[in-house]
Amino acid sequence: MKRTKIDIIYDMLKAIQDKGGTIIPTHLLYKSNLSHQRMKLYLEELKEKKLLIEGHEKDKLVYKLTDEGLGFLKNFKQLKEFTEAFGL
Amino acid sequence: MLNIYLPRPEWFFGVDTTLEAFAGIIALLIAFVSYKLYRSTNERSYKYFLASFVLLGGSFLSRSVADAFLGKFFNVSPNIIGLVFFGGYVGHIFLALAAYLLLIASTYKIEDKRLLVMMFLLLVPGLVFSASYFLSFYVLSSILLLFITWAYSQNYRKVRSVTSALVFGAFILLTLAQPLFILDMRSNIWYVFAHAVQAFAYLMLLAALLRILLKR
Repeated sequence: MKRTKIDIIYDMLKAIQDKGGTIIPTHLLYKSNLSHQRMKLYLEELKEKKLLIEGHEKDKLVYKLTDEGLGFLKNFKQLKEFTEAFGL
Repeated sequence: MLNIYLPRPEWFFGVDTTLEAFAGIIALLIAFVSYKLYRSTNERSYKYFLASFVLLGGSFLSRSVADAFLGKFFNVSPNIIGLVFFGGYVGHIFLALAAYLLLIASTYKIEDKRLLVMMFLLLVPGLVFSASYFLSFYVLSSILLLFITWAYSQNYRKVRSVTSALVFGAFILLTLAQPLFILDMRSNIWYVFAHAVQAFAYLMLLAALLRILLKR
């Protein structure tokens, strides 16, 4: 079944969580199963929504999960069920 | 001519107040859960949905208060009763119509706010200049709810979950309840049926909500 937007967001944030809360772009690209272009678009949106933040570790660009991002992961099943039930 | 009075059986005074308050509380619960989830995602689609259920909750609570005063549960002058009744029902009508419009925006993914404003402005004169507020309101509600139910039927066909079936079923009943309120003009008992159907619809929405909250 085709991934919905919240499925993709979940996959991205879960990938960061599984890496201990911090991930480099290459790993995120691989784990999220998106094209580079689409990943960039999603990253912009996730940053805007404060679900993740950009940072630097040892001069490398990294993405870190925020508390809001953790909240999203925690509520994901409810969110998905609600979104599907009410067609949002 | 102002005509918003709905004849009802004497024994139903108080029952209708309770059922309307019940519907209002469930709508507000749905709005509350929607708000919590909106905070997790900041998705715009949740905003219209959230607003629609806040308005729906306000609409039913407004009517519940109006019916409570009509049922003479408060020891106040007839003038106050008339004022509260009128204000309550007008509030109910306009809040409900606004709620249904926002729900249409949410279900049909209408982004342009101007369209929504235009739709609301088209509805209002039709209502205000009609011979009977309640008749116009129930006809307009039936039409809006028909489109909302259609959207939920499409959603159920796509998703095929028990929760989406409950939502679809609830809106079928809500749509059915509207013409039953109109039939009240022929016989009081239709008012009772309409309320029963509406209450059952909100019970189904509550069941859907509980299924969502229990998902871990």
